[in-house]
Amino acid sequence: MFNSDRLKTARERRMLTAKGLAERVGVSAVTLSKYENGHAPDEATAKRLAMALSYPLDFFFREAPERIDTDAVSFRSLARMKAKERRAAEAAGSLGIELYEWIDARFNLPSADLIDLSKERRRPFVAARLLRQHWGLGDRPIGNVLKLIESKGIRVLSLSEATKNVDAYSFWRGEHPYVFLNQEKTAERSIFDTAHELGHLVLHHHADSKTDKEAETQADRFASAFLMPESDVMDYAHLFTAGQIIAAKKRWKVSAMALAYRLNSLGYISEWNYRSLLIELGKRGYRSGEPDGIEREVSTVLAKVLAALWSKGMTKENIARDLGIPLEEIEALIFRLSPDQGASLEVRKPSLRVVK
Amino acid sequence: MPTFNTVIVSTLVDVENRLEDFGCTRQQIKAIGHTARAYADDASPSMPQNAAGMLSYIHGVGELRQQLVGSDYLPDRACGVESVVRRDRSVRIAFQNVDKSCADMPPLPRSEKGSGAAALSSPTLFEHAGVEAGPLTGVHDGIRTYYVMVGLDGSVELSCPVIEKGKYVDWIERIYIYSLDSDWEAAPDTDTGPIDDFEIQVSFKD
Repeated sequence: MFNSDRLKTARERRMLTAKGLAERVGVSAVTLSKYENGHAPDEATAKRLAMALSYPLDFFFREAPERIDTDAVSFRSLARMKAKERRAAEAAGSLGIELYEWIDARFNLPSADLIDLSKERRRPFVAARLLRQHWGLGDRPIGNVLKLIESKGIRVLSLSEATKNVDAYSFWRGEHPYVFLNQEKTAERSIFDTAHELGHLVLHHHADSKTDKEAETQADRFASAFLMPESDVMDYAHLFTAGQIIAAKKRWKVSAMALAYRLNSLGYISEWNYRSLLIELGKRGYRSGEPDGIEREVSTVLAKVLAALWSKGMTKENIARDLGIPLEEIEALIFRLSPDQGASLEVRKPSLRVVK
Repeated sequence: MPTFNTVIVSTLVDVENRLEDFGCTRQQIKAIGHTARAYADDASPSMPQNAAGMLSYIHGVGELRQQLVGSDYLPDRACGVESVVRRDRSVRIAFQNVDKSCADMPPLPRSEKGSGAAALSSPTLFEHAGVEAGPLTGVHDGIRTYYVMVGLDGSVELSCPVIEKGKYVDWIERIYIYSLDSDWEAAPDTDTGPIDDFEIQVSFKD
């Protein structure tokens, strides 16, 4: 049976208006609206809809999609984001949940190990320290933030939205926390986004982040403190030129701007020095990008899943076929990983042999 | 000819112990070098040709005082040499840009030394060591003068040279602070380095 919610999901993914899709298919906007509200199209129209949206016909005849509760989603860059960009990103979330549930049905995955820090949301730096303590991280910089949160059971997927207005978003679905990261950002920005979304997951789990105007600032402060613990940054308190900031930022895998902000917020550099730094870093191109950037972090869990599937002769095409989702959508969700990347992540134990 | 050997303090433990005599730490001296190099890197082609050296010197001296001036060290300008001095330990520390520090070849200063610096290079101590240190060209207060010597590659040593006719002619002591080549500096500090050995188990369900 034709599923109207799936039609809506596919249309939103393609960022088409109902009117725009209606024109492509050759039906009226009113008719299309009916299709999206439970009236099934005839077979020929369904085929035209599938073709216009570049989705397999099979996709529209499955059970209702996992529509995410938009009120529970924490978005970055909310102010700049257009409604259609938001809906497209949320539709990607629906597909991401379907993908992860497909994986969950076949694989043992890390279970969530997060703590509820909503009581500390007015003191994000305390929350950051408590979470570090809970995970036994001490004050050391984190070499791979994405791998860390995946090891703690957070399900991370990528967004390939061709817009910089969507940074990242996160939500809880049952007992599973999800994070979606846009790959259009620099690697450093993406790491900060990861920590920002981690902040939302622990700070605003039981507190609606939308009604709290401070939620975005709280998540930013959490990310800053989580990535750059004060007692570690303290050793670098003498940094106050653009050259020094650029050289030191790689320790925490953050942007030069983020490190400058942290040093200023800790009181290690004056407001005047901070403003001068922002101007100098801007001149050097660190406002719009991150020259000489680091390597992008990708999902370890998904890479391992692909490698394991590969060992049984299964590929991304099998997943796409099973879910009735276009392959390119699967690719966009899994950081465009290939099975050999997962194989290289497997820890190879040295083989033992008898020495005579 | 000098009748003494240059004291070279080069291992991490020896350096830290020796710096206790000065009442400062290796991190403080290293920070002076790093700040000077960072400012030298900020020189742009539109600035004067010697901007890198000037910026390094200006901010090197500034950082020297930021790091050390307090209850023990005081700012000092004896014989026109910008420095800090600690009289109870009879030590003065100034700043110098050099070609390379902590190398087998002693550092060469990147600017000619003036008569003030020569005057401060301790003739009385050389007399004590049996060294002919040349004529006295300025006022000397008997305090040994060391220089934080910062190389073009960011290497740093804290050393006490003998200065004559604008050049370093000999060395009383060289304390290696930071070198890109030295093993103890290059060795990663496993206690404070980034942590990324997070274990992720993914396996097929039965």
